[in-house]
Amino acid sequence: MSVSPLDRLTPPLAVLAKHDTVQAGREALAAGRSFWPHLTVLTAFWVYVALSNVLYANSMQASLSSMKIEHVFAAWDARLIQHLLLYPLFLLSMWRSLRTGWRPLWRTVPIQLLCALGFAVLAFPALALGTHLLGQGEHEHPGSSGQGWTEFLAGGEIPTWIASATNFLVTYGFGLALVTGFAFYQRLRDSQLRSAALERALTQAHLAALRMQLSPHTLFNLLHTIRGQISWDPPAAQAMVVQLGDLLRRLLSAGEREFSRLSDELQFVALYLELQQKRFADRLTITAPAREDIPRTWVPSLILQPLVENAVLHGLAGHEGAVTIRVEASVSDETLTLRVLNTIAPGRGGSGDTGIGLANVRERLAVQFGERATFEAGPTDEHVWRAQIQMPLLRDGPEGAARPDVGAAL
Amino acid sequence: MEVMIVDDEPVARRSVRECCEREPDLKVVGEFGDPSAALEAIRLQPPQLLFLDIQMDSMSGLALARALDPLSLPLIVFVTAYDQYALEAFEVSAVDYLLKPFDDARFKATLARVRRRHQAHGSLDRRSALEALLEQLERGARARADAQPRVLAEAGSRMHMLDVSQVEVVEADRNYVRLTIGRETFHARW
Repeated sequence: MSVSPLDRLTPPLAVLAKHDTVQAGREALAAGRSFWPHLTVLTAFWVYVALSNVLYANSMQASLSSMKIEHVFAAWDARLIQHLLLYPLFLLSMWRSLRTGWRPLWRTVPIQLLCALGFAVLAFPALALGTHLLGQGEHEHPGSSGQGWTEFLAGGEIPTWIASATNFLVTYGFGLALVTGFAFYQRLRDSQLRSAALERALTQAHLAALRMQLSPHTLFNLLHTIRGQISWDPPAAQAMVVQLGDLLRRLLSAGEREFSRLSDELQFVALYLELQQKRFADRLTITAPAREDIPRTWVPSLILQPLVENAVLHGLAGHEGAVTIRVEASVSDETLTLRVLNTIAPGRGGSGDTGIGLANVRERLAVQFGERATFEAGPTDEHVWRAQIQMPLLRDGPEGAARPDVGAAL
Repeated sequence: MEVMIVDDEPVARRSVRECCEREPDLKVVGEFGDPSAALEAIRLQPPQLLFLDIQMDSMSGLALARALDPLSLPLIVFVTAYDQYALEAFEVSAVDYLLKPFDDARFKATLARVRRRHQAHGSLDRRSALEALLEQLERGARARADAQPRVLAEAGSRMHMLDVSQVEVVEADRNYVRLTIGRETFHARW
């Protein structure tokens, strides 16, 4: 007896709760996921920068050499080493910069500048180190304008250093803009994915909430009728308790699934109407399709329940006479038509009171089928009220047609 | 038929017993609130019919049924408040299951099934034995089919509720999911 059926009454909350954990997991995932794409973007950018710098220096030197001016630009291999040395530095300052962000400005701008300047200023020493490592510079080319290590250490290259720093500051700026733009795009895409997921969860929660529409009023009135029957007619009371049990069981299982077979739905409706018939003794007459006439199709769970509930209330109101309720189901041309008709007291046809139950029916059909389903409710003449659903016929799958109708089991 | 009743609620046991007492061919030989005591008693002296509650605190009725000797298995009718166990019940070869609350009519219908099975059991009439077995299998299959989730999907302008277990291929197709069953393809919104 550990499982309470009441646990089953809260599918909307369960859907939302489940969604929350999915959400948290997704964010954690996004944080870890953004590392490799960022690294790829930055590396590609840096390869481009290195290549363009080396090629530029090389071709300039080539044209200068033809004018007999030698070694204005450092050799290509030294430049390559410079960019290799700068690569981890570039990644490090980018990483720091992205982690810092831009808010609040007064605190982040100094850090951002520090990253940029630190990187740019180290560009020239890196070239000098490259030249030194290759054993070029002062020894082999004494006449060069020389990015030599010793000369550099001696501090004789200040203007070149400044020029280099400016150049690499601009490069750094481009890199930062690129990776920030990329991060922005990723966040936008993630938020789009997130909002789509949220929308879906909301629709599900919404539908689950709309399905739960047996009015508490009806339930307690039924209990009260049974209470009376217990002493007047014990077997009838027992039968009613069993029927109420069936009704609640069907209500709960329909609350869990979005669609039911039409035969199940009509059985539920019959059960409900039978109980109401017992409540109102001789006043209700009910006509429903014979089991063999029920089209083999699926309908949104409990979609008919608000209609028959409304028919009972509406039909009985305002007079003491008999009421006939008729439930019909028919198929034509891929469209299923469901009708609930009830007789009304003369003069009550004008009251267009459609109630919250009927609004729910309309909304559920709209969420599931959009334009392909319609719902109308209103008097057809002064004696009859009609509620009508038209929706697409929902067939079984290819082999499904051969299966026994599950609805007949209970 | 000798009958045993296992349910941890005294009132529930009483209502089954009263139903049994109205039947001349049933004789209640044991009533247990404690599943392990019931298991002992059934092993010692197996009855022909066993009414077994599913949700009991110390041991579930399904576990109890699985612990029984398959060669001297009584006819089992599960008594449960909720039909979520229907599938499992038929998997441990229950004859039927009674949903609480039940009335005389439901009890008699179940008893009719039990008697058919009992006679088929005792007789050499293979056809009735086979029929009883088939009926039970069919009810199990229905419970299984009912437990399958379904998904709304379109093929052209026709809409279907597809049994998810039948779907052979699932593919992404822009905003849709393409499902294949045999030679037919369907589109589902996701």
